[in-house]
Amino acid sequence: MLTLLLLFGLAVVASVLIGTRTIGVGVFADFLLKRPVPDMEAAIIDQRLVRTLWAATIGAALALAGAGMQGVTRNPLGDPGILGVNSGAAFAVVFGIAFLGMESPASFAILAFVGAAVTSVLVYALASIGRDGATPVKLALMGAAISAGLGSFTSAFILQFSDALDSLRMWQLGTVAGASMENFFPGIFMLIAGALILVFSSKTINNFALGDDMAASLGENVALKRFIIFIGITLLCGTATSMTGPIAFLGLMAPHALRALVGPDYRLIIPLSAVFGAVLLMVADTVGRVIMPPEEVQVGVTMVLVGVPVFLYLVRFQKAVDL
Amino acid sequence: MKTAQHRQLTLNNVSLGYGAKTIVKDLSLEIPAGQMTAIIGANGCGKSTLLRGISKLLKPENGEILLDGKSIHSYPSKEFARTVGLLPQAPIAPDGITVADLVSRGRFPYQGLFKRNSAEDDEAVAWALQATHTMDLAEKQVTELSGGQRQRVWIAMALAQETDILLLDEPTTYLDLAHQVELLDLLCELNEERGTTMVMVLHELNLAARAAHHLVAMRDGVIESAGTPAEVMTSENLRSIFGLRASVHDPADDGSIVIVPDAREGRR
Amino acid sequence: MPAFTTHNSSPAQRVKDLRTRSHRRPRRAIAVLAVAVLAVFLMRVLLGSYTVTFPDFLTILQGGTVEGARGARFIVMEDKLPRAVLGLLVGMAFGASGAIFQLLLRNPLASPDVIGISTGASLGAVLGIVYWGATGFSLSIFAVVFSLLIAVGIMALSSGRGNVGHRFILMGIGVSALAGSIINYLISRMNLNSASSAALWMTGSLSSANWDRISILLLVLAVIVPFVVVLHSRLHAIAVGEELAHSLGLNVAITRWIFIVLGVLLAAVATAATGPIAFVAFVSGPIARRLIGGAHSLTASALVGAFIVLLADFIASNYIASGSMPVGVLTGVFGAPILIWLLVRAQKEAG
Repeated sequence: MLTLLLLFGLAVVASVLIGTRTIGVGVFADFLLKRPVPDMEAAIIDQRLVRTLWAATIGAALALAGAGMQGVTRNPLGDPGILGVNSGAAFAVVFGIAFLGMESPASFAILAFVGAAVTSVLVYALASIGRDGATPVKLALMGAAISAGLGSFTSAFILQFSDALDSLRMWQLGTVAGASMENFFPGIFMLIAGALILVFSSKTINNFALGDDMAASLGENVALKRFIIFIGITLLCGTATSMTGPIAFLGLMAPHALRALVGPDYRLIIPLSAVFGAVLLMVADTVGRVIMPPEEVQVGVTMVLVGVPVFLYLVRFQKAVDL
Repeated sequence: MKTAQHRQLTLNNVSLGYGAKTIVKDLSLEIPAGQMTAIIGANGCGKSTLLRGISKLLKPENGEILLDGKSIHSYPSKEFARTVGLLPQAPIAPDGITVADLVSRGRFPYQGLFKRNSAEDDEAVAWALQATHTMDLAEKQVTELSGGQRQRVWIAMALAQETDILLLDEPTTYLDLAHQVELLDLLCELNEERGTTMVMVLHELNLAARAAHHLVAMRDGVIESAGTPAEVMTSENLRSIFGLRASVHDPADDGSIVIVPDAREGRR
Repeated sequence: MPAFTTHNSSPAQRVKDLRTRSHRRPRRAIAVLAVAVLAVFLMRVLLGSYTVTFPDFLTILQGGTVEGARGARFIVMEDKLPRAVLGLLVGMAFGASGAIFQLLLRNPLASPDVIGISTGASLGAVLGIVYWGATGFSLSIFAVVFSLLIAVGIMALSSGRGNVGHRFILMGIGVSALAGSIINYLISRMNLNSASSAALWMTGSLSSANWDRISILLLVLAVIVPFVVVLHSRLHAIAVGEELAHSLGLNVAITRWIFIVLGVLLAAVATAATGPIAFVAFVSGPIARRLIGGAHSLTASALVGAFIVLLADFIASNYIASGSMPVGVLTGVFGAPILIWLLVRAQKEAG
């Protein structure tokens, strides 16, 4: 726990200091203590602070969504991507560019959120058909089917409209480079709402881990609670995706790693996932700034570069994982 | 029906385990040929691990397991499969398979790369279905069956394999008492008629005593006691092996014993 | 049951009859599928925006020319027929590959699209386009080599004790994410033209069909398919669970590796020829299972794959306005609803 907070602090400092232009520790200290610093440095620190705030927020949101997803589907492979969030968002963005003439990043954000939310509701609704409701397996299968189908439509559009391809290929990398305080505010409320839902549901998720029948006999209204948690997940990852573009793998990996560290209790996993996710995304973003100078590599890419080896390690050396 | 041959299965100082964890320790055992042997013991004592060792699923860390004096690992896998069969605890029924097809899968060790089901295979499958009283179910999908029916079908598949030795890992789990008795009686019948050597892991002590000729009681990976049910099932053994306070009765005075757990304190 | 209690037949005869009966529906379904594939194949060759009569088609096949339509020979032999043949071959390869993985790993999600094989091929192709200006055949080589490298990597990482199948899927998903992200990055840095051709390739298209490509694919398939045919009963034997399969005398570990290699090869050579045609490997297995009554069948799955690809290509090249829509778009656009419908129906039946 302490280690995690320490890591968080280190990641914040590193994210502010390191970049194309490195800021000295002394200068940052001066800035924090409101002592005069050169304008150039002050501007950079300002911008980096905003960017760090974004990275931490988005990282926390995605990891929370992933933890919720894995808990509610009882599937260690649970990832918001399963609900088709990323493919839905990409489809909506491309559709907006191709047919609605949208061009600005702000309109992309709205499109992405609508696409993500509609898709996940659709996945959930279709998976709910049948007596036993939206069981984990049905959710996973339906999500994969709908994602793949939307992916095909996305391909169709980008092959027909090259400006759609041009925008999509940048958008789909996922980046926090365009962070600004103005764009932060509408989203953050939705993120907080989603986070609250998940944090207050962590006990319920623990009950879900025992199986639907057991959870019901412990007094949970399984269908209702599952739906509420699902709303929380959709708010979190839909908003996060709309703010930065798709950032894959964080939602899958953060709770996975934490389960290895702190055990199966979601009352710990959920809040710690948020911290851990924030750390991961800040680190990935910082790495992306220096890995291929002078250019920046988008955080969506570095996240995967950092995340996959860790994930492979976990799969290789952890005890049997059930699908 | 092909009668089974009596094959000698011997374990000499066998240790079995997973990685660094040794579960069965330095165990020596002679399986009586042509008889029913039941392995009993508390959970985690190494019963199932022992069965995995005998069926070649697990290589011994130490010692040797001999079939007719030859290490079981020196037999080619199909020849071994025609001699020793295993019914695991949780076999998986392939999707969309009928009972007849599933039981026919037991003939795999008799079929080559190109050989289809022969008349001999059909004979064996028909016998297995009749012996387990599942001929009437033969056309059904395995998924449609009840627990008891399904378990009989799995036994039929193991029988179609026509092995001399049959290993069964808790064949009565998930069955109600009546079906447990029915299934064990079926196994006894097969043992008497065909002479198949059977080694089974059982949890229910009274049923084990009723079905088996020979009991092997294990604790912490070693054999605590072995012999006839009357020899093994004493109240002292039950206490030391299972931590169970019980009295052993022989109501008919013919060696068919019954175990009765002691009454709860304060209820005497 | 009573219909079958013929008292004069021996129990063994009855078992034989029962087996024949239980194989009747799958056999019939496979026969119908084969006819359907043939029909859609001929439809692809003969009908559409340029129609050829069947007698003319035979004449052309025998090397003759059609009176009054000298161009017909060229259109059939250099465009319509190679596209149809290539579609048939890759459709079958994708269908069989998907069915192998789904049966072997006992997981409906375990198709080559999901576990990194297709993404590996795409990464190879994109790297080839970016750094070596690869096109056509050399592009295929890149795709095959990369998907094999990735598959071997996943296999090596997931081997060992315990549940290899689950580990294989997990690692595949991870590696797939990695490859996908590298692809996205590379595409974002290309010029728009290269990005377009990469996107086109990754959708999967039959437009590059020619006889050279077909003969290479045929040659490779001629090596792989006999193995699949001879060994497929072992694949089915694994389906009773590892322990039981082992006690039936099957070497489970070796059989599993053989089929992973065969499945990867099928998917890789097909991907190399056309790009990863979306969804075919994923849906063919489940659709085939519904058609033949629940059991797994590589043959039925291969036929479903061929049917989907041929039909999608027919529609794409004749009924989509721009005329240049790659087949992969259509397979996804139609495949997804079919799969969703199948899933919903299965859920309703269960409920």
